[in-house]
Amino acid sequence: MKAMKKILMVGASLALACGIGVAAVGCGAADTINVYNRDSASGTRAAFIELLGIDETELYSNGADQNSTGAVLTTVAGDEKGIGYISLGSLDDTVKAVSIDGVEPTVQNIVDEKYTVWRPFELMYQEEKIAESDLATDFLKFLGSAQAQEVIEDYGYVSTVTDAPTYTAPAAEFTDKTIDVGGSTSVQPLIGTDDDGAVCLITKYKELLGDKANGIQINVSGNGSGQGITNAGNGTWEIGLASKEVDASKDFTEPTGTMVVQQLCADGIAVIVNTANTVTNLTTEMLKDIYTGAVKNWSEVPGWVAPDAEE
Amino acid sequence: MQNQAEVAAVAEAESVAKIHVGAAVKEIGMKIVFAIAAVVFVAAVLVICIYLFVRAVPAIGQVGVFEFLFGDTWLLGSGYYGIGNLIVGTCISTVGALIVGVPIGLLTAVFMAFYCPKWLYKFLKPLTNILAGIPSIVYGYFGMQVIVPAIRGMVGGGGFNIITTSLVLGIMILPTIISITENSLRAVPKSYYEGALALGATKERAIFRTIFPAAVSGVMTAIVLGIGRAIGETAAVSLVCGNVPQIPTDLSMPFMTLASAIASGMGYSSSGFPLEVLISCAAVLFVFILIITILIMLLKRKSR
Repeated sequence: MKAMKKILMVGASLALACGIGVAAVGCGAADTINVYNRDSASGTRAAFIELLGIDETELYSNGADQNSTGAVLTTVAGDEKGIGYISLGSLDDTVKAVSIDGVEPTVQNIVDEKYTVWRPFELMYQEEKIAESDLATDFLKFLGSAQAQEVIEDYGYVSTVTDAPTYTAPAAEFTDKTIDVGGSTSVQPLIGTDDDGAVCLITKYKELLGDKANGIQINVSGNGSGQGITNAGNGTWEIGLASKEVDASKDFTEPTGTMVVQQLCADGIAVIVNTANTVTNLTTEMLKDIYTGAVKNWSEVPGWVAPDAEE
Repeated sequence: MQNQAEVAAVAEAESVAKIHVGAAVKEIGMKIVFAIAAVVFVAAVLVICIYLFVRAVPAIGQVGVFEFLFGDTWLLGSGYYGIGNLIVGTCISTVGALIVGVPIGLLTAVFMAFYCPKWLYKFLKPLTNILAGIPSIVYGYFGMQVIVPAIRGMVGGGGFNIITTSLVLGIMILPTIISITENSLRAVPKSYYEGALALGATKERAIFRTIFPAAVSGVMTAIVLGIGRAIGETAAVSLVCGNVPQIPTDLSMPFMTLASAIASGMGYSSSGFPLEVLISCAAVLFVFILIITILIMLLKRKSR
């Protein structure tokens, strides 16, 4: 009898727990949109919500806030109901980019000013600190040169420097052998790291330097545009990277020198969904509704067809 | 002859005296060493405590106590410093961790203390220690790669939510709860158990009605240490909670805890006023732990 009672008790509490669980979760609607954002340090996020006209306090997130472009890519690639936004230059074929208002996110469409969701990549530095470092001054010169623009376009970003001068390596050896660069995770793959296999800007720079490149170390780190701004402002890094517009007079809190903001290039923001998702186009209105939580289900999005497995 | 004996006696007395003096000096010396160690320990705790509060209090004053503690918008970069949602998130994740960890932990401890065959015990005990030693970031990564997609499939949403966090945190506090509870169960005199059996109780009844009540203070300690670990856990929680500073309206929504807010905030706001606000968050966490520790001290005293 006592055993029976116990079994009944356990069974009843299990059933209750399941019931509460299901009720709390709302029967897991099969087509909920999993909205992924970047975290609040992200320049991509700041640029995205500004371009769409969403206020930061009404931004909706029921997926998770990821801390890098790479993390958003991985998450959306693994979630059939996910949607996210990333730097266009980082787009690869593990995910699918949707058109916005009928315009595909391509570099040509940005240049033709048809695709309007883009933002500048900025280089931020202190005038005094750069003047002290010949390596940093030279690197900045290279970044504005014709060879750098070539790399930028090869990589899928939009070159914004017109009539770029050709860069030639300096005659003398560098006295400063190490500089620190960092900030936006969207700009990071373009600037590159020392041992990258792909031809990124640092690789090209070292190629042009020839044997002057021996012993040179350019350290690149990525924790978000916010950190790029902070550390450029307080002089921890020689050059900070940001993936949104930065105002030299307003955006630096207590900078320890005169701040200069130089545009490296421009980059589109691509809205990505899973490759299994049938949606190919979103209007700006719909995108805004998704990201403020007004539209919560894929069934309300035109062009969406439920995958067979879930029916 | 007598002189020789006298000299020998004096010499012996001298050496005995030297031994006594030597011993006394060593005694005092060691006392000083232990006292210094204790002072260093207390000083370390005090320094952290004072530093936290000296920097936190002005910052909280500037934001406003009610606005800080009960405000519901947390956006460091834009000047919103309300940690109300974060406090709720911390509490939910801790409660979730307890719901997962305490039943499993207690029952496992009972199993290991009373039902476990010796050969299995030799295997289980080191396993508990290994589980305790796994770095928390590994738990977080495991949670992110294995548990998140599984929960996403079962429950919907992104998979970064209370359920995932409770599972991960619950597993993390298991070793603490198991080993302390098991020790306190074993510390109860066997006579209680044998007496109950002799009076005709079944084994399970004897355990739950006589030994458990006797071991209650140990069990409470285990639970408190578990709570302490769960409240402050940063690395694992940052990877699976979703880091969205909101109060989740259902179990599939992401949220944020105080610890993960500090971790992600430090990444981009490590100077100026936002840093002071982050230190205030740390101070609030500290106060939580203090409250819990005091509560348990009171409970222990009451149960005596």
